[in-house]
Amino acid sequence: MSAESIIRLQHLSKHFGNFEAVNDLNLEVKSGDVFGFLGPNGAGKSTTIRMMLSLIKPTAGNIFIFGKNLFESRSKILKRIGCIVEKPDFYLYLSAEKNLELFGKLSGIIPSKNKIAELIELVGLKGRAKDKVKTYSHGMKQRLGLAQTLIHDPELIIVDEPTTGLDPQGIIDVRQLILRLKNDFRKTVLLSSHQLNEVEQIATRMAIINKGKTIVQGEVSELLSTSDLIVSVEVGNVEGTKQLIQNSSWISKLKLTDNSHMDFNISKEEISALTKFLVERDVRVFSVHYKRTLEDYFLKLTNQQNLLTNR
Amino acid sequence: MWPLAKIELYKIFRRGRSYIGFVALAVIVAVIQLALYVDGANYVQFFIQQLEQSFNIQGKIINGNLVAYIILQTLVIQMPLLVALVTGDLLSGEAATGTIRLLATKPISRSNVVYAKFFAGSVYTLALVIWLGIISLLIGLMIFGRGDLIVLNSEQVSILRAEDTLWRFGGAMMIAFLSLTVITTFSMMLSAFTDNSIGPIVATIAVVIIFTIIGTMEFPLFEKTNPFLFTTHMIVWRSMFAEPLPLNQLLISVSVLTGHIIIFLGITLYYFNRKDILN
Repeated sequence: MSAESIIRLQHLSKHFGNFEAVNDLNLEVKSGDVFGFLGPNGAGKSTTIRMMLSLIKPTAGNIFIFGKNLFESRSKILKRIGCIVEKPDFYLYLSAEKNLELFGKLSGIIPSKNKIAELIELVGLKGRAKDKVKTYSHGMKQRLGLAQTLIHDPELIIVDEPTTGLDPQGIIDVRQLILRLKNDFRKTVLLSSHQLNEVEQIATRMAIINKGKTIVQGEVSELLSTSDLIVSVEVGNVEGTKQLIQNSSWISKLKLTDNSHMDFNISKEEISALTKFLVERDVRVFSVHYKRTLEDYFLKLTNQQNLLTNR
Repeated sequence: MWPLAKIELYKIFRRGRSYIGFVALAVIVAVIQLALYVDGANYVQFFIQQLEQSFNIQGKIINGNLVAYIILQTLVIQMPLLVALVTGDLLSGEAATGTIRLLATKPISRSNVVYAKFFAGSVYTLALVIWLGIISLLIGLMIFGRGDLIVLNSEQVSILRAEDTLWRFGGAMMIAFLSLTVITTFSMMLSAFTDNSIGPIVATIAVVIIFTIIGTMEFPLFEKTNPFLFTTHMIVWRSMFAEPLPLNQLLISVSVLTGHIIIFLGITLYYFNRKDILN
């Protein structure tokens, strides 16, 4: 049995004068998904999210959330959603726990002190709950933002670019928190991002939009094949290694070389064979990792679409 | 809507800025009271010189009632400024800090957000008026004592018995509250149109000053427009000290001020409900 549809956007459009921010967008998020909503900056992600949360009105199209039309059942729907739009903002002159209490009340509940303490602990802000939010770093506000989304125990969490501006540890923390929302709290999460690797790590399904239109959507595992990766190998002696590669069949897979790295276009299964080839020839291998950027994926999709058009 | 209104009140009274008005009023009133205490006799003499040519004035002219009346006269321009400082920020302040996104994504209607902010802004305004009453009248009476109130204006001199003044001050404060509520709704309306905090505050003060200047110019053109300017009716509290009480004039002014409140609030509701929140 297929999972219940939580969000369904039908032919959604938003025009600002002559500018088409979102144009005939269709999207479906199912119950239990961590749904990656991807697109480059200016693709229309934030505008779409704002329409889903009734911050802006669509020019055309329909928004169904929990099977109800957003504009007919706005309050009932919003009661079941927790969100961070663009960046987490709070009343800076109030403490974290007071902010959570206020936002709980605004969501129609009176949160208990225990509930607030639990959430503060969940997001790793224990000991800072009574401090005014103006003393918080961006990363701390982002974590408090996630606590805010949970204060009224919603079924759907919508987070817009949750790792923007965070340091590497902050990014890891927020990703882990989002995974906990799905695994421990059984929430459906819609996460917008412009980083494919971020979505790849935590999302189950995804959609990519560009210029306000859906380019592709589906299961992450199906969309991101492992047969066509860019694998970057960091080696000790690039020139010597390059000569070795030139005399082997790997030369056809070598794409780029710089002072310390060599990039190969290979499948995930070929990574171990390549590493073995290098190590057996006494090449010092410092690191091997594959990278996949949204730009690469866009190019690939565009090339495929061009091929289909030319046939 | 009550829980939302309580939250709005809490937010207003937790901000340091909200107390600037109370402190400013206390300072201004203290300065005026001190000046009148030290040099009040000379100040009053200047005004009643002409009067003494026709009347024999006896007793304590400078008393708590007169001091409170002088303070009310002096603060008529400053009070809107102090009110706008807080109410001009009610919606735009949330937009500037981004919290408007959180408010607008909660299961509350945008109309209720406006009503709650209007309620909280009005309570703040009432608190300022009550504070002014306490420090000008109560402290004035404590320092200067009770006495009959001599009110001079361009048309007449009214001498009001001491026991006849309290209800008049009460009425004057009520009208002052109504007048300042026009400022509350006007600044809140401007606040709905913009995403920065300062603009609506400055614009409100500018409009009050412009309308007040227009109101004092005696050109035929302005004579036609003046009855429709809210600033014309904001000074009608003075009529509470006229004898007999000009009930008709009071009724007209109260109606015009109430009409302005309804119009400004209506525009705010209409615009804010349709506004795309883009910041």
